[in-house]
Amino acid sequence: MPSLILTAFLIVLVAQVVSWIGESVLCDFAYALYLRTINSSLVRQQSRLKTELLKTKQELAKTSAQDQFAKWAKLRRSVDKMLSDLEKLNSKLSSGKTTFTIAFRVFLWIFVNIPQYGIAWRYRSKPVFWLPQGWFNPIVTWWLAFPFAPKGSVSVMTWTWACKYVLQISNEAVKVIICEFLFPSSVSYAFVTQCLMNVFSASVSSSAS
Amino acid sequence: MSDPELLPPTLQNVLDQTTLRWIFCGGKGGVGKTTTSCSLAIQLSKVRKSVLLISTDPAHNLSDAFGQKFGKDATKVNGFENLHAMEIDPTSAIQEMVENSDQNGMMGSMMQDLAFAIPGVDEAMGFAEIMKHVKSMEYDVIVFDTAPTGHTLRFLSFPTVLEKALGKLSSLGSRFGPMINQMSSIMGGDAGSQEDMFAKLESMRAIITEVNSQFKDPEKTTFVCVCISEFLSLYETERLVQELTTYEIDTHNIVVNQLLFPKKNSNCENCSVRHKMQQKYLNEAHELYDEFFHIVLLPLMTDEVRGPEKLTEFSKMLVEPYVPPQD
Repeated sequence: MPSLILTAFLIVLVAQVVSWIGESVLCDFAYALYLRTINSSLVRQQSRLKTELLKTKQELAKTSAQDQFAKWAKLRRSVDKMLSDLEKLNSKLSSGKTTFTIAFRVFLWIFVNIPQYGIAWRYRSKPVFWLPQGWFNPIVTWWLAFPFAPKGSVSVMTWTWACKYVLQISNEAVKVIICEFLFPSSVSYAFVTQCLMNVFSASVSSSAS
Repeated sequence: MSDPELLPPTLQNVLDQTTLRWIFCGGKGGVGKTTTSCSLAIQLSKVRKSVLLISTDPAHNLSDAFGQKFGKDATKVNGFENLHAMEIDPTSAIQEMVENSDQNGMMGSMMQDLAFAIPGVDEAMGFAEIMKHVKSMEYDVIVFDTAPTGHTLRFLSFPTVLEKALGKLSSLGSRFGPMINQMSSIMGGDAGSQEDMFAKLESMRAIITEVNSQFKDPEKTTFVCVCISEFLSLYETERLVQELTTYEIDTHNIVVNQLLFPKKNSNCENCSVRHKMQQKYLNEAHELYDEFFHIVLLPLMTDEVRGPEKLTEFSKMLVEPYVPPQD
């Protein structure tokens, strides 16, 4: 079943990519996109109000309260009004952001996790691929088929685990290679060992769990 | 200034608006609030069945203005059939209330703490107390001579906060009532007094809510701003107007008091200088407020406006615009 093997791998890959980029970065990016596209009028209104407010404030500073009281008071009124408008707009925008963040995080969680659980549950008794007979001892064979896949095959759950750890390790490896590439001469021996240690510990911990 | 759409420079609109129940007179100290409010009350007494004049200014001037002692109870003003006056200190009203509730021991002191923990609650309750007094009396219209500036009405700036706080407290009361009850019985307090307290808070909230809704109704309440033609006074008036607008209290009258109209052949240097300055600020005021306000001009008298006769004489200028003597 080549499509199952690929699908499971892609699902894990998506989850890993999301975790590499980071939820908050994605969230900020999505919010910026949301503001640009759907909610652009509010943002434009805010920036326009800000420039207008600055201009009026400058004019107010130039006007003498004693000599031109009427003009001064009118300016003052408009500044006060604009300030309160701006405050309202700001709170509207920030409350909108909070709601958006929550909604987006929920969406992201569903998008990342549900397919993983779903595929593991849907194809729980299907083999992803068969192992040549006699490669592993019975305990390992049983463990690879965990929980419900037929004996002698690799289950979806085990396969997704394997994909995940490989991706994690390769992530670390890529990081090290990039370090190496960016700082070929200045990189110290200690730093390289640190990187290698990281890779090692990651692989150990992932295989341990 | 010769705009044909100019609102008439009199307070006739206040006299004509028969739905009005509360009229406030306010402004900076020393601009003639008391004189204006007394004059307005006198004019109102001619067209309404009964008028009550209340001073909430701790420095009471009503007694001075009418030359008659007024107290905490409404007293008929000498020389008028349907004009009564009283002097109340809003902050003393709450003190009295707290002292009264002090007999309940611990709950009384808690009440006191509560009363002063929420900003503005003392003034609000003072007003609420006045409202309670006044509601039981039958008056067509009540004129308030308020303390300097609009800070008397400060509590109106956070009616929602106040209402929310009090609402929370009373809901807390129903939830933690039994616990507080037990606690107070352990501490040797009087069980059941807390229910009393929460009932009191609830009734207070109801009164404040009602007062707010009444004050925000332009059919029932208006605020007459009193000022003199000077920078600071005008500045304060502008602030007062803005404040009132945020509290949603109707205001459409400004009384400009103590204007100088020196005779043409007068050689009083001070007078002419002052007249010039007053005219400058008067022009500014006209420019600023002409659209929505009746601007009433009152001259500076050569003698103090005291006593019923002089006040009556003075009050006529609220209805008929003052014309400076031509020579």
